[in-house]
Amino acid sequence: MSIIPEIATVIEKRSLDKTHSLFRIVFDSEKKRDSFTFRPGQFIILSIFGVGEAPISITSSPDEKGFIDLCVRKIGRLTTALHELEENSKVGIRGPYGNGYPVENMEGGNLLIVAGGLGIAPLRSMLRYALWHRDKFKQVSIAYGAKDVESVLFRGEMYSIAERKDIKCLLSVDRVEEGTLWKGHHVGRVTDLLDMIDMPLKDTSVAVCGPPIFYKFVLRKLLDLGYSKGRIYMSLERRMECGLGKCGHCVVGHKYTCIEGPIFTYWDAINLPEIF
Amino acid sequence: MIFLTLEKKKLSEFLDALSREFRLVVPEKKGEKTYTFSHYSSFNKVALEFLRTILPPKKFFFLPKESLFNIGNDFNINSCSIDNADYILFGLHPCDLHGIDILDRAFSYKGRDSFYWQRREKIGIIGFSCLPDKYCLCKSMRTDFIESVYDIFLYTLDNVYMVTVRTALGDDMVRLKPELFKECTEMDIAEYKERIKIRDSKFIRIIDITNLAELLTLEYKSEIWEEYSKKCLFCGSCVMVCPTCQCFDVYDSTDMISEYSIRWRRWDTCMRKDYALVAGGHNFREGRAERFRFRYLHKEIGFGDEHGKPSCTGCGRCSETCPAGIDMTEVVRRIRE
Amino acid sequence: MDKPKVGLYSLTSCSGDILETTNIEEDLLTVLKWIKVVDMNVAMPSTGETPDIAFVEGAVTKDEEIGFLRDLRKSVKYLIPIGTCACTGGIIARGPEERREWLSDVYKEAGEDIALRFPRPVREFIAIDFSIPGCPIDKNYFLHCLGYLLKGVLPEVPNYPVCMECKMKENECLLHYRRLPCMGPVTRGGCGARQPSFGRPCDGCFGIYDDANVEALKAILKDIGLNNDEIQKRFDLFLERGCT
Ligand SMILES: Cc1cc2nc3c(=O)[nH]c(=O)nc-3n(C[C@H](O)[C@H](O)[C@H](O)COP(=O)(O)OP(=O)(O)OC[C@H]3O[C@@H](n4cnc5c(N)ncnc54)[C@H](O)[C@@H]3O)c2cc1C
Ligand code: SF4
Ligand code: SF4
Ligand code: SF4
Ligand code: SF4
Ligand code: FES
Repeated sequence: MSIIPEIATVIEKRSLDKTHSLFRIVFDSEKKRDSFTFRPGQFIILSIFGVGEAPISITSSPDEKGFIDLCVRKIGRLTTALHELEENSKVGIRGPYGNGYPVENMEGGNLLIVAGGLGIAPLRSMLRYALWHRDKFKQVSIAYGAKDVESVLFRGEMYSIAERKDIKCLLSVDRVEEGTLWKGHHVGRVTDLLDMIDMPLKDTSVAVCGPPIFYKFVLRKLLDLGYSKGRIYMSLERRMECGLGKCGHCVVGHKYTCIEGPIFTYWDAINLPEIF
Repeated sequence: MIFLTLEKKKLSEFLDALSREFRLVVPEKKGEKTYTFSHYSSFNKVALEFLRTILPPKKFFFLPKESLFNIGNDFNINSCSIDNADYILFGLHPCDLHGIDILDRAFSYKGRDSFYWQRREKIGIIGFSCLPDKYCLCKSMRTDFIESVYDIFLYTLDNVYMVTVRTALGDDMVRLKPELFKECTEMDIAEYKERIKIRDSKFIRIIDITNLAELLTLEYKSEIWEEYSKKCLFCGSCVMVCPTCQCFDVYDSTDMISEYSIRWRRWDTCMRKDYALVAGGHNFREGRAERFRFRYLHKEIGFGDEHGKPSCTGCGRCSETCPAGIDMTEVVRRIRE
Repeated sequence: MDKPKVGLYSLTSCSGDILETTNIEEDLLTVLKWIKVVDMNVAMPSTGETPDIAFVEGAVTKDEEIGFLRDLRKSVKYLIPIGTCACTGGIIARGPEERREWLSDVYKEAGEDIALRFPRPVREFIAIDFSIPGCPIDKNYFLHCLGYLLKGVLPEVPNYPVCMECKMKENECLLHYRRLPCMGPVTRGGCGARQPSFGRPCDGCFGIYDDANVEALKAILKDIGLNNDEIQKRFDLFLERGCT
C-alpha cells in the first residue's frame, strides 16, 4: 500500500449541520474506481494538496460502488479547507486502511450498533452493509444519540430506517430546543435506549463508536447488561500520519491503531497498556 | 562466506578503488569531539578511530526530511525520483549494523515502505570492528556481533584486517583490487579469536536486560519517570540520533517559486508534546513523564512484541548526546533496583 | 482569480523584518507573480487598497499604534505579526519598564513629550492568525508560510524545539560538547537551527517552545558555569518576558 494518494474528485458536498458535511468522492482513474474495495469500519486518508492529510472513515457501504462517502467534522486545518472546497475540486485519497469490522464473525448472529455523535460515521457503513445483506444477520438494532436534534447526522435517513420493520432503530437527543421537531424516540441519554432495545446476549456483536465520554457510559452499561467483552467492538481514534504502521503516531501501548485497529474488541483494548 | 586478510597499510588503496566505482561514505571528524558519516574525499580524512557518529547511517536511506512527491495545478503526481543512492557505507560497527537490521524490519512490517527500500536496497555496507567506550551497551543488548546486513566486515588485527566477505556485492568490492587481499592463515584466525576475548573484557558498563520488558511493565507507575521528566529537556536529540527510531511526520508545503505543492516527511519524536494530539485538543500522551516513559517502553517492549527483541542496539548515542546527561544505563539500572 | 493583496506594516522596530522580506532577491519577481503588494511602508507608498493579508512588524509602544491595529484587524483576512518584536516584544522589551530617564538622556527636552508605552507584542491588543517570529525573520520560513496563506490555510505551527532541526543537520551540540549557553532546547523551531549551524549558540529569537522545560535548561546552564544573573539574561533576551 502506497503513501502516494490517488487523485479523486469531490462530486457532491452536502451540509449535514453547522459543522458536518457529507462529501461524495469519486476516483479519477476508472481502474481505481472499479478495483477499490473496503470493509465497513475502514478509513481512508484524504489529502488536500498544499494543506495536508487526515484519516476519515468511509461512511458509505462497500456495496455502493463507484464512489465513497465521507462525513467530516470541520475542526482543524484540513477539515476546514475541505469544507471550503467547491464541488468538483480535486483531492487525494489513499487507503483503505485499518482492519474494519470482522463482518464474517458478525454474520449469522445479532448486530447491535451504538453510536454517539460523529461516531455514526464508521457505523453507518456497517449499518448500510447489514441492511444490504439483511438476511445474513438475525436481529439488527441501532441506538444513536446526539446532543440535540440539529446534531443528529443523517436525520432523514435515520427516520426512515426507524420505520422499517426488520430493524430496530432508536434515536435519542440530550435535549430538544424549543420549536424544533423531534421525530426520534427519546430525550435523554443514549444508554437509556439500550434498556429499550431488547437484544439477546447470546450471539450478539456490539459495534460502538463515539466520543470518549460516550464510551465511558456506554461501555459500562453494556457490561451491566451482560454483553461479552470479546464481542463489543470499539473504534479507537488516534493521531495518524501514515496509516501504514510506520510513522509511530497512532501507537497505543504496543499496537498500531492504523493497522491492528482502529477496531478493537473491548477485551483487547483494555489489555493495551496506556489505553485509559 | 569467504575469509581474507587485508594489510592495514593497504586500506587506503582499497578505499580509493572503491571510491572510483561507488559513492563511498566514511567516518570523518565533524567537530572537536564528534564524527559524521560523509563522502570520501581522501584517506587521511578517514577517522578510523571513531566510535560513533552524531547521526547514525540511517540518514542515507531514511532521510531526516524528504519529499515524497510534488503536484502542480494539473493534479499530476510527480513522484520524486530517487537516484544517486548507490552508496557504499564504510565503517559500520556491529551496533549500527543491528540498527539497520531493526529499521529494515520496521520498514517492512506489514508492508514495505517504498521510499525506505528504494534507497536501502542500493546500499552496500562495510562493517568495521571496534573497542567499546563507557557509553557502549551492545554487549548488554546482545548486539555486539552480527552475521547479516553487511557485505564485507573488516576486523582489526595487529597488522592486517580480517575480511569477511558475506555477499556477492562484497565479492565485487574485493575483486576491484584482488591483489590487495590474501588468504586467511591459521595465525590470523588465532589472533582473531584472541581479539574477540580482549574486546569482550573491555566493556565498561553492563546492564542486565533479562525480563526488562516485564520489569518496565511492573514499574509503569514508578516515580522515576516523573523524576527524569523534570530533568529532560524534551529536546528530541536522543531520538534524532537513534539508529532505530523510525517515527516521522507527514506534511505539505507549497513552493512559491515552482507553484508545486510538495508532500514531505520529516523525522519526528514521541517525546514531542503534540505527537499524540488530535483535533479538538485531546492529547493521548500529554504528560511529560508519560512521554519520557513511552520512549523506553517503545524501545524495550514495543518492538519486541512483534520482533522478539528490543529495538535498542546499545550504540550509546542517546546517552552521549543528551545535553541533560540522561543515561539510558542509569534509567535501566534504576528500574531494576 | 485576483492576486491576494499583501500589506507589510511597521510599528516600533528596526524594520529589519520587512527588509528581510525584500531580501528574497532573485525570487522576488516570482513571488510577485502570486501576490500584489499594496502597502509596504519602508519601501513604497501605499496603493490605497485594503490588503487581504497583513504582516506587521515591530512592538506596540504608542497609543496610535493600537488604534491602527484595531482598524487593520477589521479589514483583513489574515493578520500576522512578523519578527520577534511583533510576536513577543523582542529586544526592545528588555530592561526596566520605566524609561523616562532613557528618553531624556537620548532626546533631551524633546523626550519629555514622547508618550511611550512599554513595548508589547501585537497579540496583546488584537487577535492574530499566526505568527512568524525571528530576529530577523528567516526569509525561507517566511516564504514557506506565505505558500500556505495563498492556499487559503494557516501554516502549521512548528511545534518542536530548535534542537530537533539542529540534530537533523548533524551539528555538534554546542551546549553539550562546547558548554556554550545554547537556548535551542527551549526555543521553537522553524529557523533550521540558523545560529548553531554556524557554531553560535541559539539566542531564542523564535520565542519559547510551548513545551519548553525551562527549569531543566536553567540547571544545565548553571552546570556549565553561568551564574543566576547570566542565566536570567539569556532568558530575558527573547524568551521569558511576556511569552512564557
Ligand atoms: C481512524 C479514524 C477515523 C476518523 N474518521 C473520521 C470521520 O469519519 N469524520 C471526521 O470528521 N473525522 C474523522 N476522524 C478524525 C479526523 O481525522 C480529524 O478530525 C482530522 O485529522 C483533523 O484534521 P485537521 O487538519 O482538520 O485538524 P488539526 O487539528 O488542524 O490537525 C492537525 C494535525 O493533526 C492530525 N490529526 C488531528 N486530529 C487527528 C485525529 N483525530 N486522528 C488523526 N490525526 C489527527 C492531522 O492529520 C494534522 O496532521 C477520524 C480519525 C481517525 C483516526
Ligand atoms: S536528549 Fe536528553 S534532554 Fe533531550 S529529549 Fe532526550 S533524554 Fe531528554
Ligand atoms: S536507544 Fe540509545 S543506545 Fe539504544 S539504539 Fe537508540 S541511541 Fe543507541
Ligand atoms: S522511541 Fe519514540 S521516536 Fe523512537 S521509534 Fe519509538 S516511538 Fe518513535
Ligand atoms: S547546539 Fe543548541 S540547538 Fe543544537 S542540539 Fe545543542 S542545544 Fe540544541
Ligand atoms: S498512522 Fe503511522 S503508524 Fe499508524
